[in-house]
Amino acid sequence: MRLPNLVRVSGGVLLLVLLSGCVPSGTTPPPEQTASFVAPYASDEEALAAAEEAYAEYVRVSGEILEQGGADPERLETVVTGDFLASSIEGLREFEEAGKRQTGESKVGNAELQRYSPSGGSREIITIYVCRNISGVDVLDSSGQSVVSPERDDSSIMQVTFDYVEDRAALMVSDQLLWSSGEC
Amino acid sequence: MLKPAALVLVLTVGACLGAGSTTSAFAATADRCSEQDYAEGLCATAGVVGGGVEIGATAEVHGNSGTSSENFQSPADGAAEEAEDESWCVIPRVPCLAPEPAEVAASGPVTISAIATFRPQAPAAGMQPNQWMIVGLDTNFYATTSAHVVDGTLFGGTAQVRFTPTSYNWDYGDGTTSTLGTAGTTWAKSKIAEFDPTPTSHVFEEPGNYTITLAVTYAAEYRVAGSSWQNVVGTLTIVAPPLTATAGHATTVLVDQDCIANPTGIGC
Repeated sequence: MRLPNLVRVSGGVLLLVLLSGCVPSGTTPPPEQTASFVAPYASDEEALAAAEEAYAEYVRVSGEILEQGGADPERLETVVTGDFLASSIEGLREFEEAGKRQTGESKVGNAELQRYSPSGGSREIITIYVCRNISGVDVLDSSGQSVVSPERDDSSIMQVTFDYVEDRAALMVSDQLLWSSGEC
Repeated sequence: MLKPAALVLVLTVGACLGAGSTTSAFAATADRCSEQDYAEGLCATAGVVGGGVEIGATAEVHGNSGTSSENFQSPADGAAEEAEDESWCVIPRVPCLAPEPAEVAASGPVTISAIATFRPQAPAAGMQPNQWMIVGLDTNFYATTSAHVVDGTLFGGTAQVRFTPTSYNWDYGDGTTSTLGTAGTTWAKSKIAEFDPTPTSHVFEEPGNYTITLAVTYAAEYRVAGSSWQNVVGTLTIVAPPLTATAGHATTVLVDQDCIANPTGIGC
């Protein structure tokens, strides 16, 4: 069976992008040692609680932007930082250009602390695992058709990393990875 | 036919492209996961599944035909190799391959995915003395396994998983178990005398036949196409082939001569 050229060619582009780490990758610069930085959380429990709060806000703001078809993606600046902010905004612009829109509520479940590094500087200060459920979420294109992959799992675990942004005195998402899928 | 050399070329080219005009042809990378990609189901996953680590990647390709999803497969599956050479990216043309926005809107997305499964090498259990124990004396147990990398292929490129043993769980078959952080080694390598206690030795109190089982727990990390190592959530426990051994009493006596040569000698 012959495929339309574009499909095959796009496959090539896709492949090289996937395999080459074309997009800003996980190679984040090492944490900055700042003598003046004092870790804001006294314990793992406090760090986890702060991370959960920051993540809930991230999901809320992201959801708001996506439900509005990607409009004003700069709103993410209050919850995301670093390279991840730039790539997220770019992705949202494409989302808007494609005329897509998200519907439904994305749920955030239990979180577990993977790591809190109070002495390593403000970057990548906290990493958590968090349960997500997006069974109620749909993404529609401009004609109202769902563009959600049939491979998508309703429930999955995310690994989320946070930087402490001193200017804003706030914990902000600097990286997010999808880990295992399935109930959590 | 797509020749492997062609694919390598394409991959190398990909490394020098920014996230510019080609980005609309895909939506996921093997690492970061934005909320919009997550909602569309385009994020790659990595995690522990069953007896191995599975690394998966899913991505969206915009095509012209609504039916092409049935026919499009990743090169790892072999089908795309049927494509003619000229359909694959040539360096100067790569930036031009992103579909026009109008075409994107008019055509359905095609999702392709691939999963590679990686299993660690099986650990092995060893013991000294081999297959017998003296009641009341230390029997030295050790595991032979170490950190190792398993290679695989994902979307036709290299994917690797590194397994690092983190704990060793011994079931001695006498109702006792222990979880150790060290693999242990032989008496000779520890430079100590036989039957000396080691961090991994165990004393059997009763004679009898025992089945000793070792389970090694591994942590895993993965990397794709030479990127840095990333942790995989969870651990993986692999059971080594069990050891069977007999414990007996040993009595020390003074003898005049070798009892095998002279069974009736003094002390025999």
